[in-house]
Amino acid sequence: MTETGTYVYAVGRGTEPGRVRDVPGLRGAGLRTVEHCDLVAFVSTVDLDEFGEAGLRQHLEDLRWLEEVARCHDEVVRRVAAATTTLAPFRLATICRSDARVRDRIDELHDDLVLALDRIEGCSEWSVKALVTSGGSSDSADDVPEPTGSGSGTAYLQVRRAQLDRSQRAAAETAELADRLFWELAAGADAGRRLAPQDRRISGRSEPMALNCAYLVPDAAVAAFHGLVEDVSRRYETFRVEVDGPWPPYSFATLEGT
Amino acid sequence: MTEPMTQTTARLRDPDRYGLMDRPRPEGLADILERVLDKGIIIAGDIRIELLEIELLTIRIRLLVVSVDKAMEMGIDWWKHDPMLSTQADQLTRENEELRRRIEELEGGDGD
Repeated sequence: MTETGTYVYAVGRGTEPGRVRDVPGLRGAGLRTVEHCDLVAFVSTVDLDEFGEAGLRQHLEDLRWLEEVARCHDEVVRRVAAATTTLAPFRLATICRSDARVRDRIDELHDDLVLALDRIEGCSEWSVKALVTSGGSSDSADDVPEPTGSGSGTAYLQVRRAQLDRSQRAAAETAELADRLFWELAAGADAGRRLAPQDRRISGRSEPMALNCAYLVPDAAVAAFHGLVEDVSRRYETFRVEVDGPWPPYSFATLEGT
Repeated sequence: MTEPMTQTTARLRDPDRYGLMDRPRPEGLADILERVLDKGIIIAGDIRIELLEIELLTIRIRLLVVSVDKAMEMGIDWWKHDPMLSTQADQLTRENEELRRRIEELEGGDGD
């Protein structure tokens, strides 16, 4: 008999169980709830051959596997979040030996989980990215003529230095602008968090990403937040600002001290 | 502490607020990975992956190196073998460092 474990997708409160009953979990296993006090954990059974320590170590190396599991995890979280008053997603691959062990963990962390849920109640996460458009300052390094490699070494070095100086200055300017943009938008949200800008090869875009961040926006303030984004993107001509959401509040569902 | 059901029901959200499975969503894999791997409630489950931090780090490095979709299209599966450990990658890294050092030398040497 293969050993099984309990995979935890999220913890929340205020759920209508009927609305999550037909949500498929990982590998087609049905989604279940583990209730403890006022909190509900959303879980499904996983095979420990695949999701045990050895299996995970091996599978996390496999991007195809990782993508499948990550998308399923996100899908479950989204579906449950839509049927729950407040939901805190867990990090991928949080696995306990049994439902009883999940209950133990919720019991131990109860107050911290409630705090996390309080923080995100009635809010969603919105992703904002600022991409440097071609007219942006980061391209000004191109204005300096290319060193030809011939002629005196000193001339070559001077050109090369000017080029480096300008591109460094441009990079610093872009970073400062991105910083300002981040804080301007933060004024319209409950909280903001910066993520690492995605490499062009991941983002699939030609423009470099100057800012990648997430905001926790109360449902009632979403329209105003979008207005703010629009207004701000008009003023920051260097950037093309993209907003995407709502996301379940992944970036803000955190336990204090972790 | 249990919330009355009426209040709960009243506050339930639009079932489609986050988009559902039968509809394609624009989020890229990178957007999802940076959230489900890095964020969310982090607790120690019973299945301890001590290596997790290291694994995630190498995954992140790999994401920076090649676009996932492109790699898959091309049938590249080198992430299955740890590039940080594999001798071939080691050799490439060494070669790169060597080349970078030589370029710096040449650029610096030119002005002397």
